[in-house]
Amino acid sequence: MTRPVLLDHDPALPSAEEAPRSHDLKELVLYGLGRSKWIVAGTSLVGTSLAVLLAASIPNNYTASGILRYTPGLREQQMSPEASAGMDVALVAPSVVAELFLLNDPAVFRSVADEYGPFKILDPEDPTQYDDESTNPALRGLHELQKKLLTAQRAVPEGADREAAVEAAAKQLRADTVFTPVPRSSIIDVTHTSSSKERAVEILDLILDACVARHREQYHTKERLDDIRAREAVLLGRLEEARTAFRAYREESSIDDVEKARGRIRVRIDSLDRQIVGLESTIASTTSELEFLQELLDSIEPDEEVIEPEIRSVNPRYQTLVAEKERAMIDLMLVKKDEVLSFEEKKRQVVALEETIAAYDRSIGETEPFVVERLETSKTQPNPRWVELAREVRVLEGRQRASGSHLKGLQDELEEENERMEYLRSIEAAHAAKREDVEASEREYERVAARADELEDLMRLDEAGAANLSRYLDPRRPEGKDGPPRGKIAAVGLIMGMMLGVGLAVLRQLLDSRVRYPGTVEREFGIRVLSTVPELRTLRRLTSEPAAKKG
Amino acid sequence: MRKKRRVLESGPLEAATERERSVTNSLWAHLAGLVRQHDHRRILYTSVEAEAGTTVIAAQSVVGLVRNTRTSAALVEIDIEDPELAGYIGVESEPGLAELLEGSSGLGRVSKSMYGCPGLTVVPAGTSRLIVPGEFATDTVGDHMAKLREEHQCLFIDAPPILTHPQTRLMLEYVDGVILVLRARATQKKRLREVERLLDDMNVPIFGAVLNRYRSDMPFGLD
Repeated sequence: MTRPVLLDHDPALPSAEEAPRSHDLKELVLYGLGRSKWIVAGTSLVGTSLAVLLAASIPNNYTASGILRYTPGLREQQMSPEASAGMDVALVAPSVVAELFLLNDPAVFRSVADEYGPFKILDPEDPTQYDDESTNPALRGLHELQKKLLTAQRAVPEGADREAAVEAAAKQLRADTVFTPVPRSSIIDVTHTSSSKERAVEILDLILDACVARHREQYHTKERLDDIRAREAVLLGRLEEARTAFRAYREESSIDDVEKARGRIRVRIDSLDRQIVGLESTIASTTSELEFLQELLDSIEPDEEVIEPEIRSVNPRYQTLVAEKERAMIDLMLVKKDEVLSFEEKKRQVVALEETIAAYDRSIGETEPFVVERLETSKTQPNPRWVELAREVRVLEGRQRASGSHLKGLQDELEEENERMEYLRSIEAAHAAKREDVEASEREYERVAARADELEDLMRLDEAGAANLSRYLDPRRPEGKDGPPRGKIAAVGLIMGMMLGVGLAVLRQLLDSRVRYPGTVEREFGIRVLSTVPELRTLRRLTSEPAAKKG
Repeated sequence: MRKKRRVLESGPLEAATERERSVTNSLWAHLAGLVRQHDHRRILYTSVEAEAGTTVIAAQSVVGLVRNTRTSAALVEIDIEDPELAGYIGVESEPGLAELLEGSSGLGRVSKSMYGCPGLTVVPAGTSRLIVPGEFATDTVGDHMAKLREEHQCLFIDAPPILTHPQTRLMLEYVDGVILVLRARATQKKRLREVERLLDDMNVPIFGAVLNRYRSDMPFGLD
């Protein structure tokens, strides 16, 4: 987008594309104020009115002042919380802070509220009470308005419970009362603010009395002494009980015998310990020897094989064959010698017998004359080395079993002795605890008894009526009003209303979507404004002025 | 319309007070600068929306230019639906541009001279009527404009709002640039931005703006 050079172009005038959209401060604030002057005036008026109403709703303040004198002494030291906590009170200086904490006790203000009347405290002074016929009507109206506002915002409604009213009044009194210690002195300035001079003085007078009474009550020793004495009696009873229980236990437990028995048992335990250690060492060496023998035994065969000699005997068949042959030879001889027989027959028989004999010879030749008989070819028998080793192993095993049972017996005995020792120790511990109880009870009793003696001395001060917080200066009547700063409140309202109005005016300018000023056209659109023509009525007004002058 | 009428109630140009003229006549100095220094001799007055006072501003500035610089100029009013120039200048309203476009009158008849302002030729809008579509797009209009330009040193056109009247856009063809008449507290910024964009698109420069009915918001009359 390009625009030709026009007129005497002002380099300061932005072109349309570079025209910023920001607002000019003069247009935003000054023109905004001029344009929205009635809005600013309205918000200022509303702010001021609200502030005036607020200021009217705050009653007048009058402050009365008095002085208390605080001279802490032995009693404050002895009765301080530090002393009660058991600290060395000689090292603890009585603190004015603690005293101020005491004086701000709600009980102080409750007693004042109860005595003065809670409703009277809660109701501010009637602003119309001094108005009469001579009072300015505007001022009277303002007082009436103020009275209505004060009535509307009262803390406790009419006819409310008195207890609640006392609580509310005490709270208000506490808020309106200030205790200020003067540094490096025993003086405490006390001020109380109320809605009238008389009321401020009266209430402060009661507050000073209540403070002194509260101090006396706090450091009053009679009750504390009674408490301590009662506690002393309780502790004494507890001490006697502890002593009786200690004696009874001592007799019951025969503590002297226990101590002797404990020595004996100690000696026996030591002896058993030594025996057990020796036996355990023996068992250990036997075990290693046994393991060695066992390994050796495992490496040897438990049995060995033995070979038996042969048994030679005559073969019965051989004997039978020989006998048959002899018989055949006899028969042959007989045949040969027989003469009865024919030759042929004889010959045939001789041949047959010879053949038989020959057959017998062959059979005899083929048959072993003796028979070799093995009744058992081999037999096994225990290895004597193995047997020897096994015997040794059995002996060692027997010995180890005997040692083990002996050790078990010793250990059982040791355990019994230890249990016995433990029992004796528990008796001794219970005895020691009871003795400690007695000693602790004695210490506590002695401490309380000493404290009771101290309080006895302090009580004599109480009986003399001495108090270390006293009224040093009576309440002084306030000379003038302290507040509220109604002018300042109204001014703040006015300023806040104006600020709100200015904010609205600026916002109105920011939100304006119309062309209103030449600067807007030049700045936002980059168009030079050749001239501005005033509004017609403005023109007419302007033109009428010289005419009037002429006329 | 009511507001525009009120503007015109101030009477003919000659009846305007000296103070009023002095305020509005300051425009002619700017016009003189445009004409002499930059040789922009064809200028169209228009506005973003109606009731901006374009006719009054155009008449005041052109009369001031002619009177003070002895320049010859023609001032043509093209708003034939709502003619006002004749009444303000103090010349006969008819015949005018409407009759010229109809062809019922020639350029010589519709060109009028203003009493007391020699060198100024005024072509009023003529009889008020509705625009016939296309009548401003004819060559005749261009011829008349060219002739008026030839016969005078300067040609000024008083045109109705550019966004709502198409004839104004058509007349941009015959001018060197535009003077925008804005109405303070009435012209919407977004409409002005539309006009600015439109003229940029048509490559017609804006010579400047006149902020009419301006009222300073400076408090206590300070400005």
